[in-house]
Amino acid sequence: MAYQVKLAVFEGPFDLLFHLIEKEEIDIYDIPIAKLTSGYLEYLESLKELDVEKASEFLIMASTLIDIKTRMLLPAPPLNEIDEPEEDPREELVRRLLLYKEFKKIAEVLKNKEEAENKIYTRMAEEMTIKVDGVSLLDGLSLAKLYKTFLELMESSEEEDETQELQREKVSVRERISAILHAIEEHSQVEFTHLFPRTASRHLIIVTFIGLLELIKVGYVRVSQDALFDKIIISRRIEENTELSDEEMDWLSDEDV
Amino acid sequence: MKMSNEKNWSEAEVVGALEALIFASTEPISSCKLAQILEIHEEVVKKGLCHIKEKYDEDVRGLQLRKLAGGYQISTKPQYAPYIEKLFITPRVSSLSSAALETLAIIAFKEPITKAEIEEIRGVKVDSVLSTLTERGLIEDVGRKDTIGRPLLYGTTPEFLKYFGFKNSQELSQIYQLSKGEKREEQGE
Repeated sequence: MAYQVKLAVFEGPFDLLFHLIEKEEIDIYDIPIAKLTSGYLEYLESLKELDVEKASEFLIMASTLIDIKTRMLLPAPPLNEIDEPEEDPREELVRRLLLYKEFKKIAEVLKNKEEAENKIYTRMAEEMTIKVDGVSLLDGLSLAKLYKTFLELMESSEEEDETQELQREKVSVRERISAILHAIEEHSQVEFTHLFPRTASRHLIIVTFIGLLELIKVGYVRVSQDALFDKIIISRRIEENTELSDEEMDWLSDEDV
Repeated sequence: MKMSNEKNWSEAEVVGALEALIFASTEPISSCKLAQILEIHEEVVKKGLCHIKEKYDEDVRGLQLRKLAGGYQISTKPQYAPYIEKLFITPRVSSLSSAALETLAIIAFKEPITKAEIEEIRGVKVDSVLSTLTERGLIEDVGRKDTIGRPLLYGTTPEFLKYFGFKNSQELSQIYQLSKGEKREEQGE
């Protein structure tokens, strides 16, 4: 228990070190490492229940401190001409402490700014689309939209009565492709949602959708949408080879569901 | 009223149009954008903005015009916060934890920065803090570092400037300079 209560105060090992440094009025540029280490370990020992995840962060620092302490106790190896004079083992620690302190200060500034900002209110966003100059928001988005509309359709048809006998429908991709083509021939274009009757079963919807994807893939139809959330229009692509041959139809529909 | 093609607006008209635009826009709006919409010179916009600010700064007004995240925004004055708090049933989103603030401070001045680099400075794991900050839209990943493992790099968002009420990124970097200056003083002692 004591562990958790106390830890809430310290953000991490550096935070604890700073606390000790301030409490003992330690000169950060000449840290009495033995004193700091024992203070640090004392604190760790006072923590009865160790939360492994959190404690490990504190333990790493403990081992660093002990390592520094050890290195300072050991006599420095005699210098020969190749060796550079060994740096103070505390140097790295001090550098990191100072860096941490810098950001802790900035965090303090941010906290004050946040408090001040919480006293200021602005209008809340309304559901409004801001104009994007001249750029069509739909560029490259038509398939995703198509997919979304498909999902919506799936949802609306799912609301139908759930308890019923399931009978396997026999609808082939080929049939649906023919139906789509027929609809396009008749009206020169057809709206995406009209391809799926309200009462369409999931099976029919899937097969129709696959059929449509196939037609798009072979470039036989084009799918367009004029504005965001507008109707998706499927029309025939105006190109020379207008008729699908039987082989093409077969190839298109060979992935029967 | 011929709005768009006539550029010889009276000053009062400019001020009115500017105020309407800034009010209608819930996000801070830049003087450049304002000038574009009204088809007037940016200098004229800035003059108009100063005029609005002066008017708002008079004691009797409850609103203020602020420079925020590189744009302008109309908001309430801080002294009226207690009353507004009564008006709203739901309180604001909770303030950030000190772990979140420390992490943000590091990202703001070291960006782009990886998770490991942040952890090196803070001495603790920052996974959950990073996801909280990302969720709140204050930071985002800005690419990958070209080292082993190609770790994600994090940076702050414009929302970050707004959240803390910074005029622009220059004001932010001034804070950094300031804290560095203080440090030097301490060392000089």
